[in-house]
Amino acid sequence: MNYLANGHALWPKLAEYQVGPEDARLGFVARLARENGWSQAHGDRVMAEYRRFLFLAAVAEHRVTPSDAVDQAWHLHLTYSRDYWDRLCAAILPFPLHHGPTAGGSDEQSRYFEQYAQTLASYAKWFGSDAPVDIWPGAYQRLVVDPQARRVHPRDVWIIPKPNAWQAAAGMLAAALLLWTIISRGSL
Amino acid sequence: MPGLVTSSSSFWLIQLALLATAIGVSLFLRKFLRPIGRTQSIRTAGEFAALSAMPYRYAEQAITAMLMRRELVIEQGKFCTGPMGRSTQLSAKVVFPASWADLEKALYLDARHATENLEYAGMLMSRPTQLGLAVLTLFPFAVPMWFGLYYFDAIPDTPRFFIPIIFGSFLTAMATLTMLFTLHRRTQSGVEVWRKAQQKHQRLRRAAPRDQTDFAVALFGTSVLIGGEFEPLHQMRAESSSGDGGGAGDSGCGGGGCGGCGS
Repeated sequence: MNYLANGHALWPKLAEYQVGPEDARLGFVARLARENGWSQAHGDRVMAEYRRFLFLAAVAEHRVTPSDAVDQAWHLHLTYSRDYWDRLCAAILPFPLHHGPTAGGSDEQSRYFEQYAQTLASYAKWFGSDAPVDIWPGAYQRLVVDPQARRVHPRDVWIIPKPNAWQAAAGMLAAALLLWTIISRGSL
Repeated sequence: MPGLVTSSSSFWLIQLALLATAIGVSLFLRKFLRPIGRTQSIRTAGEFAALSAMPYRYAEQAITAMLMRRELVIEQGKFCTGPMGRSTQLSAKVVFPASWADLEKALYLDARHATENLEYAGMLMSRPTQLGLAVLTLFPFAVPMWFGLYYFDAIPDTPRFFIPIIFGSFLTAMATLTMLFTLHRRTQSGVEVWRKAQQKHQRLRRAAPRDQTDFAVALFGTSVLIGGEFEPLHQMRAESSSGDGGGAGDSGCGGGGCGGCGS
């Protein structure tokens, strides 16, 4: 695909970048997918978006904020500390890229909102299309909803997906029709 | 017709089929009877707010723009003159601190002028044209309504039949009202310009940079402000909609200066 990033010397290096040893039995993306409950295919997509985020961090002339999914990739990469500092930051990126969590409070939230909006704008500028919405959701989801996530263990809890509004409405309608059918046939 | 309806199930089937047909015909009429209008170039956030054809959107956009320029600030749930506020277009019309309703009232004429300009430009239809279109597009609902009312008057002996008739009439009434309240004033050209603008600027719906915030509000409403610097504006807007925007007696503006002595 032809977009602005293709003309930048940094992008080919990042586009091919693999984290960690290639012969590892549990590779970086597989670990990322496992820890977040994603499919391998989704993990691959998040990794591709993480590479784009690293590119933006290097070339955009403003601070950048990743989506929650991309942030998970960044967190995990930071734990591969030799790879992150000695390979990525020392040999590929033009400067050491530090991770700075929010200090909390409404001013910080406003600052991160603006950074996230600027990041999405730079993404569209450099990659020629809007960032995929399933990996880069809206700012409300990113800054208010996603940070409420917490670590749970399947040994201790049952994990049952919540229905969305349409599924809930369809379920209630089906239940109402079933009840009505039973009543009208005089079974109750 | 009486021969067709022999049970509550057959009533249901016919009522739902008539309702679905009415919705389809109404949507068809709405699409093809809408005036074509003329395609014009629209650029400013104010023009897009007017093109939304929602009467409150112009005020939402204009107030957001004034907050961005720091002509207004929000203090204790009220609008006050900001550090850049001497040139605000509202200075002569509003006594600060002001509520959402005060500002919306002060901006009413500006909103009307913006709407009229789009009418002349062929992007919005006039009120009488909108009324005529509403009558035509609601006409198909007369059939399921008549059907429901006919059987309401001639209920067969079984009492179980009563519930489907009430429920079917309710569904028909809801569909009719929904069609009525979603009939906007954009011409076919206006619809196309609006659709393209929303499509092109989808990114702003997720997160708008500060300098594009008023444009995002014009296209998508104040919900785009949630989580950002201007979120209090969305809260004030939501409170005004829910009728909870009454003024507290002790609120006031602090640090805004005298606002006009020129010294």
